[in-house]
Amino acid sequence: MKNIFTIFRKELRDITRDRRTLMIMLVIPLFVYPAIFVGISKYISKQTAAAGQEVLRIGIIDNGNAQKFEAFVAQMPNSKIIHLQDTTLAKGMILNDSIDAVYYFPTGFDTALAHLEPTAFQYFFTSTNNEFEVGFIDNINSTFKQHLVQTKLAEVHVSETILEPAKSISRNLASTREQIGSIVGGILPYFFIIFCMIGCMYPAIDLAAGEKERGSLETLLVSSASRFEIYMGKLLTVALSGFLSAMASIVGLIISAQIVGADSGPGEDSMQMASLLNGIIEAKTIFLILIILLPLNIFFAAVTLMLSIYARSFKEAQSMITPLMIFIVFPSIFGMLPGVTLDYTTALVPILNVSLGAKEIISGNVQMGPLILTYIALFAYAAIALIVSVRFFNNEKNILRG
Amino acid sequence: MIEITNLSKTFSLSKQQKKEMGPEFTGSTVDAVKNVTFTCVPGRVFTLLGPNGAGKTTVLRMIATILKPTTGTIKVSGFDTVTHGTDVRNRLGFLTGSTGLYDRLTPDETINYFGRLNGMPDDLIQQRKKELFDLLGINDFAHRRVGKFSTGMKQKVSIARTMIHNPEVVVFDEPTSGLDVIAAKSIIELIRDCRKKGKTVILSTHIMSEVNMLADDFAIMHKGNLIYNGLFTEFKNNMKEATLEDEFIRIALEHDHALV
Repeated sequence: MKNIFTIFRKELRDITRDRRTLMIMLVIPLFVYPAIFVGISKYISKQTAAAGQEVLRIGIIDNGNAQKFEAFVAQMPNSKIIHLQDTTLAKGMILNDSIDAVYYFPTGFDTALAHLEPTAFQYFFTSTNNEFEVGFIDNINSTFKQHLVQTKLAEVHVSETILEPAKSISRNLASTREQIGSIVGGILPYFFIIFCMIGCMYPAIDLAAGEKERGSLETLLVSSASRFEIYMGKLLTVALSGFLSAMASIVGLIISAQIVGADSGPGEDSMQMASLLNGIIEAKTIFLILIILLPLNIFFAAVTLMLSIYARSFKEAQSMITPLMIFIVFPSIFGMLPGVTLDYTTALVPILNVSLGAKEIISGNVQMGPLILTYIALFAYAAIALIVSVRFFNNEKNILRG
Repeated sequence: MIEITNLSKTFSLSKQQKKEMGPEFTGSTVDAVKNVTFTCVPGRVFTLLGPNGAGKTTVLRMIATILKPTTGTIKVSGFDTVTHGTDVRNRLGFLTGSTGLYDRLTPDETINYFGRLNGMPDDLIQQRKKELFDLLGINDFAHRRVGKFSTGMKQKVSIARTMIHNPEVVVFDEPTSGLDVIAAKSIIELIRDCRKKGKTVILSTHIMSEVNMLADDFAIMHKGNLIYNGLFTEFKNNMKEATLEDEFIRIALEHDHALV
């Protein structure tokens, strides 16, 4: 036990003196979340401010046949009417962004409306326009049609209730945290998992294949420490490194919440994001996430260390461990999909169970049964990986392969 | 004391290794060491001579408990290497040509680390470290990281690491390979010093001049077999060729013919 601690302390000192490891283990996880959330928040604020000032340029080709529509649009705020003569020119103007949308009305449009005869109009736009412009056009279309119906009903003295005899009023019982958490909750575990893996990867390569290559593993094996002690000292270092990466990303989340919160005004979208982040950084949420990440790190440490021990060189270890990322990224992304939830089956699928478990912990909508099964499954997988990895380390064929 | 009796080591080969052995190789295993028996006694240097691939390093790795024998036994200071590995390692120092140091640690930290791993109390580590650092002239760079040291400086630290727990048995596996003349000289002096202090020394080398300088007891390994084992003075007296190199080649060829 004393030797395990001695080796652990030395390995920790060794990797923390390596700038590359520190960068991968702590600095990147620390800054990724602030970069994402502060970036998104700034972008949302900028877009909202720009949308408030933007004037939508609407072209009309009607030859005097759509007076009602023109009058309707003219009274809408933030809109400007431009009269055009033909659709070819109009399409070119939309594509080169000198106009936002163009409405084309056929001859006799107003007359047809007046006589309740069927008619139609076309509008041209690009769906790749920004969200504000597309929304504005949709709003014009729907409110104009509504306006026509209301006017006609008023003329014939019929109540508008005929169109909607009973209103349906929705009451969403999901809290704001649950609603936002269900959207962004999947992204956070993805990064937690990736950071755990990246945090384990580099130290594992350095402490096994790197030592083999430098010739220091042989001298360590000749010391009085047993192979099990050497292995455990290294494993604890690698697992701690992955865990510290995840912790650094949580600190990054806290920093994000502070920055986003400080920059946002009441009612702004970014304020909602700040409140979500503050919700996540509750002690209970962090505790539950850390417990889920603990066995995951042991699992990652055991697997990466096993491959690294087998590799002949640092380079070979890198090429063996890097493809593992595919097996980690795929279930992590699958867990982000809507409708995929943590149940008694998904709780048994490694990585996916972490992704879903963390997602549900973040959205505050976790079911304890599947979550407990997730913990049990993860500790079981970590124990299996550990046993296999120890046996692998004890095999002289693997340790001296080279 | 090292007592080796009927020692053999067989490695099973992977598909890739079989391919590398060439088309004429049909087996699935390789006998790296075949029924080797010898004894190394305290206060004498036992020199193991042989070309690359003779099985010298495999024997030394089995003595150091890194590898397990397939058959036969090795006893170091009376302890079996398989059943009492920790007791063996407590009494053993192992030095190779590759210094095998940690670039990001200082000599001071390296020696503390290996002292602790070898179960030494802190005060003894400090006392022993001071002696070794004074003797080897490490004090000037004791608190600088090893990464940028010259080969000679690294070799000094490597010697201090090997000797920190004052081992009864010291194993030298081609300790001067890749070293410059000055660094190699410090190793030769260390081996002589170990002999003087009554330690059991086993030296593996393929450099004839080292054998000439250091050998008390002498053995030749060739293709996994021990083809000569005796006193070095006797060997020299009975040489049929003019030089040690030529005599070694003669014995090796004679052994090859005997096998055919």
